[in-house]
Amino acid sequence: MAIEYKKNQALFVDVVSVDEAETFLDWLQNKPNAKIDLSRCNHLHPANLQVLLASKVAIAVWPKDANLKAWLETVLQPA
Amino acid sequence: MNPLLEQFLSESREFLQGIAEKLMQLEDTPDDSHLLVELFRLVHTLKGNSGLFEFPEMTRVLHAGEDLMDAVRDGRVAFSQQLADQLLDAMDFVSALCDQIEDGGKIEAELTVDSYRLSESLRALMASQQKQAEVNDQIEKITQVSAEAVKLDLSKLPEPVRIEAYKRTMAGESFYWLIYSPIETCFFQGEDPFFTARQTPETLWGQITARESWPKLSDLDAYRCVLDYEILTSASHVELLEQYRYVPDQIQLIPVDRWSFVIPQGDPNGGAVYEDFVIDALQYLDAGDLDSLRPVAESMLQLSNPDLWLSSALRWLLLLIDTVPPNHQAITILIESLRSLNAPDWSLLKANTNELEQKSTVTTEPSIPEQSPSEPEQINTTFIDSKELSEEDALALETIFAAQLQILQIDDQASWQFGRVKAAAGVLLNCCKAIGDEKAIASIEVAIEKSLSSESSAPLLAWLKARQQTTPAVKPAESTVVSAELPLGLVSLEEQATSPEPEQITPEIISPELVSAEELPKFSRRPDDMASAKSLKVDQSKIDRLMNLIGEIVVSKNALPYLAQRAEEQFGVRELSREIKAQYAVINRIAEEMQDAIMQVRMMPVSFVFQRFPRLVRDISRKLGKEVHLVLEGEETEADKNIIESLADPLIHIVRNSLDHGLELPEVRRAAGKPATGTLTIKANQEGDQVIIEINDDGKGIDPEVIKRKAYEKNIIDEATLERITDREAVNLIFAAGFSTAEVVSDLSGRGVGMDVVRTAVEKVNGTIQLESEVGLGTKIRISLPLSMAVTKVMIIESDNQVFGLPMDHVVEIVRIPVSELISIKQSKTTVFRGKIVALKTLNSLLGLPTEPLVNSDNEVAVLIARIGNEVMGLIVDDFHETIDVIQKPLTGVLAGLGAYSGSALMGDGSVLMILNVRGIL
Amino acid sequence: MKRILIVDDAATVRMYHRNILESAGYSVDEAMNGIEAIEKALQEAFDLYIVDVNMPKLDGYGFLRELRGENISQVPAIMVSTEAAENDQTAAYRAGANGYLVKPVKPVQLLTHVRLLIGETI
Repeated sequence: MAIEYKKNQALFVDVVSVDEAETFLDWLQNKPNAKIDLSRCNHLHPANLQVLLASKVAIAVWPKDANLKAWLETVLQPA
Repeated sequence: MNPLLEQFLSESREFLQGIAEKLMQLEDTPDDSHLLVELFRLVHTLKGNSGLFEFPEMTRVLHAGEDLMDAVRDGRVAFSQQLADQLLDAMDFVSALCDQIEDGGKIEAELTVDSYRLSESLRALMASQQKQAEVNDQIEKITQVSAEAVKLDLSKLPEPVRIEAYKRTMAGESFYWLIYSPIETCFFQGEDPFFTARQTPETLWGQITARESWPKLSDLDAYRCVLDYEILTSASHVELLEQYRYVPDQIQLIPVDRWSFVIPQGDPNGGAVYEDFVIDALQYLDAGDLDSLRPVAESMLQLSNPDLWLSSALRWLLLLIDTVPPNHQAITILIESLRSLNAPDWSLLKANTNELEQKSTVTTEPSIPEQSPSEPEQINTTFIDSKELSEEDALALETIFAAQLQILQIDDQASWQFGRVKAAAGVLLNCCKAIGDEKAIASIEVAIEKSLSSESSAPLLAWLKARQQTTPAVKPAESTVVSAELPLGLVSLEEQATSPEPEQITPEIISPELVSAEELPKFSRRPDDMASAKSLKVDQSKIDRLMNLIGEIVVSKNALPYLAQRAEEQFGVRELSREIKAQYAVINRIAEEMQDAIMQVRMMPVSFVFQRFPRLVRDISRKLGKEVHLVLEGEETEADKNIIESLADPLIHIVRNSLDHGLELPEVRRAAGKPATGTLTIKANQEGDQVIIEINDDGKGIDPEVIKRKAYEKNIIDEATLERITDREAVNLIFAAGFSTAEVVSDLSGRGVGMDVVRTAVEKVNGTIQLESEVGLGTKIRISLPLSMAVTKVMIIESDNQVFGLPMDHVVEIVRIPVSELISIKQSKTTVFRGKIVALKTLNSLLGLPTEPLVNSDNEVAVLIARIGNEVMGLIVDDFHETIDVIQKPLTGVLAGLGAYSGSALMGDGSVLMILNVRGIL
Repeated sequence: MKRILIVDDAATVRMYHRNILESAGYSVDEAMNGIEAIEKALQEAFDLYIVDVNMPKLDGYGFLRELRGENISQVPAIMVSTEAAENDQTAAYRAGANGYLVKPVKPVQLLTHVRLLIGETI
């Protein structure tokens, strides 16, 4: 499991690998109001992070993984 | 490309070749210490060269290789096949880097990781302690560089994190600020820098930053890494380097001073108005009454909004007060900062601490006695006159003086000791001259004179010491290796200079051999040798240009005989004609010599091609599980550069074929009663104006029956040919187009390319190739090539009132044959020539000219007997003319498609001669 | 014009040093190893030697020892080495070097040393 796409929401699950970034980028381009749920994410490859950052998309739910959350909070803005 | 880089690349290739050769020799004689020393030297020198440029990938691998070879040379690591393999791999890598540098002037970033892996694996072969030492060394470098380059600002860290870190430093931990900037292409190398960063041991805090602003989403390249990671960690050097072992050049490690954490932050709220508090607080502090200071600060903090700058400063203040032992100076600085609400200036603190530390260091070291030297009045040295030196010059000067001091103190009774002292004396004098210090010059001259007359270094040492005392110490900030020596040297100087009788150390300084040595120098002058040893590296394009120009002269001079002819026939001045001819003879001779000379320059030994075979044979035979002994002979045989270069690919192909299909596996060979190790011989020698290359193997040979059948199956020969073809002819069918004997195309030699490619390549430079084989005994391939291809000797022939050139390589004989001896069999003509039937063709019909060949008054036709490969044919033409040397130019444009001609050449009278491609027309 | 002999087995290093020295107006000759260097030193009086450590036939130490011991030349010599360790430096001085520089030598560093050792006003 990597990224589950629902209507307007992308759910990051477990480890999101480098291969996901391209699809994710395509998906986001068509969903200007997309929301991201990172709650079940343990790690994401920085290629995906770069997409998140460039899109300035809203993070709806932060990761439960405290370490990942701490890292991401230094660079991603809360919704 | 700049000449230095060019030189570097060409020398690197030489070295790499040398290294590969030595490694393979070592496999045969692993105990040859001389070889080991040589090998070390080559790797070492190559590494040194690479250090002149910014090629860290290359230097890194070579450095690892050098260390490994050093260990092998010293017997710490045993030479093994595995070691040789790894080193060869490393050298292949370096060679690939050279190619990249040559192509693009720089090394692709992707190779950085490879270089780390390679150097890691080389180092893994060394003992583990050695490795650790090396790693530490590397860390040292990283740290040093970073500390200089980056000024740390930790204000972006949240206060609680900084407080935690501060507390931990007080508990004895130390922190690094780690900046990890992965290269942009790292995702393609399968890296996940975020993961690496998250795995950093002992991380207290980390953040991700983007190197650049983000583009529109549609323009985003998600796979170009632009994120940096900054991490505060209390892990050790070694742990961090281990974590970032594949990317040490992408991280910076900055040791964090504890005071960098102490930064009050917050809302200034209209500026500083805490003068009363500051005065009170400083009073308590001066009185050393921290117990009173604490409650004042606490109540102030309670009254203030926690978001204020003041509150932040007070929190720090309380922390500092409770730190054991409290640093009063630091507390003062922090309190003072409340006056201005500017960040505390910790540099004040650091300066003072350093001073304190310095003082304590000085007192712990043995103090330098203040007594005057033994002869202070005689050596009156002052340096007031010396002009102001730049810091760099001053540093160099001190370095050199310190070195001479060390040199003069060496008392090893070596036979060259006095020479050494004399040289040091000269250096001291020169240095004084260089800084333009007249008084120093005068005094050192006195000291030198004394030193020389007493044959002792003592006066010079005394001079140096006196100088040291009168010169304000120029202590450079950075401690280089040399300047670090200075204090040490001074102490020991003191011991010597103050020893009661300094002359005692001197009497034996001069070795008795010195005098006789002057009479009998070991190395006599040998100017002849020196002259012959000189060589010059010249760019190939310059040689080519020179060759073309000489070619033009060769051709232009051919105009003179025409001119002479015209002078005589058209203008009737026989005298002038004769003079022109005489001049022509002179120019002709010079031109021929020039041509010969330039050909010599272009000559190259076949070793250029041969040298790659030991490695090739070794690698392939190992892959195939075969045992092969390679013998190279006649490597010094020379031929034109183009010929040599064109030889490389066909030869490699032949060698691969021999290894793949010719030589058998050891057990097969044994079963056949042959030695398990097969022998492959590659031999070169010169025969007349041809270079002959022979490749022999003692493998299973080629079965002509198999070849015949195959050739027939593949429609290369018809049934009639199949019947009458000799075995010798049959085996040569493997050179026919589309022929490949291996059932399965093998990885090594097959690749779907047959021996026909080899034949084509050889024929392209007017060479021939022949094969002989005996089943069960082996195969011999003989390649014959012209020595030089730049100048072609052609015979001029005439047909249908046109002249053509025909390369002399093909001309066997020219004869006139009576028409009556021409025999027509079916449509074609033949004749019996020297007892053999020779097929005849007329040039006119071959070229599509309708005219019949001319018959002379004796009813004879002109026949040129030509050799094409192994066949002999007769070519009927109208007439023969002289043979001349021409520079053949390939046909270009639409003419390039004409198979009948191999090129054109310019004649002396300005006309163009077409050179026939005999193979193309017959 | 001051004459300097560069003794190094690596042609690239020789060229590198030559470029620096010639651009500063020195006249330069080269030798590929200690033996060749001694032959040149016997033929001509140089003002300075710049000597590599590791060379075939006769290394830098050997060359310096011959130079000093056989009274061939007592003009200053700089040893250039890839090693920065103190031992290596001491070995260089012991053999007869007067200066020690670690490769790759920075042009400014080389020229400052050369000027001081040759005695040209800096």
